[in-house]
Amino acid sequence: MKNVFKRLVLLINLFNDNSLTTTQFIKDNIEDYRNLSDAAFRRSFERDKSLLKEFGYSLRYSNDKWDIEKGYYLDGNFLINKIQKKLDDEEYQNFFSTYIYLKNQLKFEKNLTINLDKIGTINQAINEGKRIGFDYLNKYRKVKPLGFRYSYNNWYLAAYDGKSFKTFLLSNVENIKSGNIPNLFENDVNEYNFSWEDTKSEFKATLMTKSAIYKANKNLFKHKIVSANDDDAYIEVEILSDDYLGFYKFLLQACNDVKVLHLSTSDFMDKVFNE
Amino acid sequence: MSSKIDFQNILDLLSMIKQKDKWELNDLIEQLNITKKDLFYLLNVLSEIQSDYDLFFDIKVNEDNQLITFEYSSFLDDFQTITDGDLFNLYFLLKIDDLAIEDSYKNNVSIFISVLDEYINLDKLTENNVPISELFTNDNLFIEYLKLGSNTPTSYNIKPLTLKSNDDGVVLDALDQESLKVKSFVLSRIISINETEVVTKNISNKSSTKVEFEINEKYNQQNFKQKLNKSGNTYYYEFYSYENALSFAIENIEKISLLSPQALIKDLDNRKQFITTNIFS
Repeated sequence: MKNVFKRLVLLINLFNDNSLTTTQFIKDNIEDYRNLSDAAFRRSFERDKSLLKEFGYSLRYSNDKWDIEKGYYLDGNFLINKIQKKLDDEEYQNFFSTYIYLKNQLKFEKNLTINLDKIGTINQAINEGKRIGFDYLNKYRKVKPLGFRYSYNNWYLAAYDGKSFKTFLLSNVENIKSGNIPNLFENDVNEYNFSWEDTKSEFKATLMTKSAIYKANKNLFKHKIVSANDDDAYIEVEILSDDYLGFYKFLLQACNDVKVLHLSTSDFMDKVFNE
Repeated sequence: MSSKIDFQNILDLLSMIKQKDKWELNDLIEQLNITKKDLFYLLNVLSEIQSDYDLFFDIKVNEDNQLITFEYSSFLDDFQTITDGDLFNLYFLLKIDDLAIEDSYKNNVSIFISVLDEYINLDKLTENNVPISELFTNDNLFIEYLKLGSNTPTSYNIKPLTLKSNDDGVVLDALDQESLKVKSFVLSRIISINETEVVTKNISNKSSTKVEFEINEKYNQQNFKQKLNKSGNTYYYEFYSYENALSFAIENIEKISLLSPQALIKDLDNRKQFITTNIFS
């Protein structure tokens, strides 16, 4: 393990100057690789690449047909590089100390937010105003990414597909590639509606239940809170939703611990299984 | 070296060295949250890193005054130890919760968030019952928890370990001090955190429950989180508890037709009946 740790530090160090690095250069400059056969080097390099990816560093190969140079570059430090450039020394020192403080306060695993590789690539494209392409449910999409939403235990990407605003479930997004041309669009969209929020077949309901039961089970149905009165023990909440089946599941779960004070539709049960 | 040491510890140590080149031994151990033995292992790794016979680090440990001094080549100035993933994870946690932050850090944390606001566009619709940071204030906590499928809290005496995510959302892995097993607790289902024991009647049915069912026409095995077993045309899955089985039956109500156990079928029928007569009558 010791040799692996040393090799990973040396590998990251090779990319410090942000230039493209050829496979041969990597082999020549890391002692552990130098004396390996080509096949053994490839295997070892691929293993190290996968390990680095686990820790948030992605070694990617640039093969742009319009570029003369080809080779590997290191992805994964986009945010901190940007922040370091923007802040003065004292501000950066504060940022860094706060980062260390928070890391010690909150213990979390690297995979806390799903697939950081996807999120990292998309987030960089958003910041640089680049388009991204990806496979989505067997169809290739080319979109202008805007932002993320974490909702009901799922990650969503908000993006413009042509002129249409769309949301994509991130777990279905595969093989993401970022475009080369920056500043294609301004990303000033801080508030965007998600597709289920534009629905026309909404119903309104007012519920009264224990706060803990509402919070523990609210992910069973997609909804917007219109108003809520929460005294920590009980909550009276007015919601807007088009998720009939999900709301039915919530009621089945909460059952005699919930009261529906008002429901705007009279044919609710007919719609539950006809969605 | 203990088994929990990984490359992240190397990155964390490099972060510390970048911050300052002289550290008190105990301070460094505390910040890195590792043992003294593990720290010396990491120092040993760093001290051996070299390129063409140029050592990257010269590390001096003074046992008398418990000080460690680092001298390093210029490579560390450009070596970024904070990844996008680290910052995204932190930002996500700061956004899903009002953290219980020490007063002396409140202003700095608020600046930290506003710096990241410029680079991350993240909206959230998640709210927990308890502040996440309170989970890490003590190694011995008592929590009240609504198990999947249950509306009655169960109390646990836990040692919190780490946050991660799975199909149920963000979960806390913690050591159950009673059973001495590591268990996962869905954050949104933790309803209170206490430093002293809360008397809660634990009425959970802990016996495992085997559920047999058929999958309705429009769906197939891929529509389920669980890896199902099949026997003829019947699928089955063995759940850790009755509550988990009930939660599965409710979450997948449109996808399956229950065949057994009868108690679960009856419970679900009673709930449907209750809703029809008491809520939609």
